[in-house]
Amino acid sequence: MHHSIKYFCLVLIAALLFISKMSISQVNETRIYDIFQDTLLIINGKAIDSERILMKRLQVVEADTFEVNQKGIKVLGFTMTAFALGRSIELISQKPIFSKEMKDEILNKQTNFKFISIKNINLQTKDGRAVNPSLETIKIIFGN
Amino acid sequence: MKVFKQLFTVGFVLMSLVSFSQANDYKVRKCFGYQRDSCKVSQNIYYKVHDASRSALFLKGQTSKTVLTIYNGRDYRVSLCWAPVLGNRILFKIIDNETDNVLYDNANDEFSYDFEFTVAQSREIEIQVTIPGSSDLTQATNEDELIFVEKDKEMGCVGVLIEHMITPTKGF
Repeated sequence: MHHSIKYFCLVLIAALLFISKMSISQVNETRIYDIFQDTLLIINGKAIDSERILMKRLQVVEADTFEVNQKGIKVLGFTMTAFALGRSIELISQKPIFSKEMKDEILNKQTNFKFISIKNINLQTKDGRAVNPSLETIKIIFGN
Repeated sequence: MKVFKQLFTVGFVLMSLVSFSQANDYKVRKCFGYQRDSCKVSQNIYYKVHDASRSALFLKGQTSKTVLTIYNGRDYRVSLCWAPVLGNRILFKIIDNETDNVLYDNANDEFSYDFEFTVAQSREIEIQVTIPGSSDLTQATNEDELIFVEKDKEMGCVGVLIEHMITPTKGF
């Protein structure tokens, strides 16, 4: 009995030390959101369930109207930001779709933005109530 | 069987102690290769790790910079990773080494830990990394004012991973 308690304590201490080592190894972990419980944006038929997503430029510019995975919630507008070396833009759309200006910037070969961020996503329920999306900012990284 | 069980336990305890002491001992070159082991590489398989990638031990409140030559026709990705003891965000800027113009500041990009860009003109840039200090009283309100600030003692590894590739051609 005495030996088993000693054994248990040793294993517990070792496990705690091991866990503490693992927990201080690195930050920047990305959370994956739940498609059923969270309020997520759907772009081009794909529910965005992560803060960062890899997409092709054409997939982005050919995207239809933005939707939301929860019934009865619609997108009223959003802001798109993009950064390149020495240049940054911030464009606002009052519709649930990328504006022409946004599409032009995404396809701009000279600046060649490697990613865009979508934020300030304005959601509304059928009864006019404002809703916050689970992901406040989405970073779309262009695969090509 | 009993001996084996005891040996296993002792071995496990020793291993855990060794790994724990490594995590907190900065006398050895703990940060060596930190960027290689801890920074997330790009999902884009065409990126290759640049030799200028590096890591260092940082104290909270410290600023340090590294110089990199970037070439026209190449894409670069600069990503940072750091020990959680340094906080949940760190600041980094990309500055034109010749003109001192700030070309990118992650404070305007929601403190992003990475930045990917295309180079249209070869130049030398500085990657400036700042670890926010935990003390609020870091600056005097005027030149005559003398303030005493408790220096931050917490330190941890920071890795700067630089990846590069030839800019992919688009269209015909």
